Amino acid sequence: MKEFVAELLELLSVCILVLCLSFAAFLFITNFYHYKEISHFEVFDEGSKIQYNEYKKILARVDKKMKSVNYDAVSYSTTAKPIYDYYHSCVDSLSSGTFASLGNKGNINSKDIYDSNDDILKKYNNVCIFYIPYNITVINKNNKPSVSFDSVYKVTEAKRKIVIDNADYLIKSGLGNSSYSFVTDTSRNSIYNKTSNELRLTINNYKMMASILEDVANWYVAEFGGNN
Amino acid sequence: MKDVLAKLFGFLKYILLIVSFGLIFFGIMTTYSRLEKPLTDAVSIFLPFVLVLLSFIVTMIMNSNLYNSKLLFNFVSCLVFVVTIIIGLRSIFDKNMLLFYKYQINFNPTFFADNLSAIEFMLYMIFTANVLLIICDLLTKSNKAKMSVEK
Repeated sequence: MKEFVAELLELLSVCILVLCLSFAAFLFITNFYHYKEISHFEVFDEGSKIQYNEYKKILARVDKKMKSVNYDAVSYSTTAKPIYDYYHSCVDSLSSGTFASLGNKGNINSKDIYDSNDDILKKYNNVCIFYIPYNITVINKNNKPSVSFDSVYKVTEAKRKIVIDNADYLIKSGLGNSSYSFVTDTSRNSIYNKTSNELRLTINNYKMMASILEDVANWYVAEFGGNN
Repeated sequence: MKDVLAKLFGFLKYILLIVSFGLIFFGIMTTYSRLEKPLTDAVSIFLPFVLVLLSFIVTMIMNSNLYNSKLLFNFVSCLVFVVTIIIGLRSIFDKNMLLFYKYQINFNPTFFADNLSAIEFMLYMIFTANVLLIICDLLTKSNKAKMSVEK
């Protein structure tokens, strides 16, 4: 009887060990594939580079327009000059962000996309896309403009909300990469490539941000004189 | 060959147990200090480690002769501790997981917490299997002693 019980217990312990072995092996393999997946770098493809260069061209156009106004004139000391100063702070902030250096990188990973969108929420919303249009409305309360900024403000606010929503979505999507997933090269190439898609969304987000600055620049030139 | 491997894994499991416990302890301390929770709340997390260590010590004292089972047992124990170490190290060093940056504590508490229940489950399985092997060994030894007395 004792022998039978001993053999039964040994069998039971072996069953438990085999179950434990399969579970541990599954976790081991899952961690290995997950590490491989999140370490994957995506090549900055030609399509994305073209979109990125368009963003740079929009910023160059905005810069040209803003600098075409003679904001140093005495009459502009409380209007055009402070607006130019806000714009200058925005440009300095944009040039030091993660997205500015993305064009020089050959390979992009999810951290670059996360940082680029995090910069939008933490920096550019305060320094650029909310700050500049809002302060223009404050300046215009004391100095009635000849060209109304109200319609421009509605458009910039609508665009800003889209940019913030997109950035928020991309950040949350990026944070989800801590969950285990099985992605193979085949599914990445033929079905869905998360990093590549999020990179394109991020570039479009920055292009929309640049278009907000262009809307402001167009009003600035129309109000204070300059070259369009 | 089996004996050599059983003894090798048998020796390795103690080292891996200590290392894995250290990493889990570090993870718990980092997580609980951020949440300002006392470490006494984490007793249920450390309990399976203590139970496993006690069962290993009892097995060592008893000097069990069940080599066939022991190779499987030692190998599975080592694998469980290796997986625990991998999870601990990834929580501390894998910066490709973006939750690593969210709380700015140089640690990924979400990934760590997600896997903690799996680690506890595997440790309890190791402990249960070890207890069953101990009982099995006691029954076999008492049976052999009875047979030698009868002879």
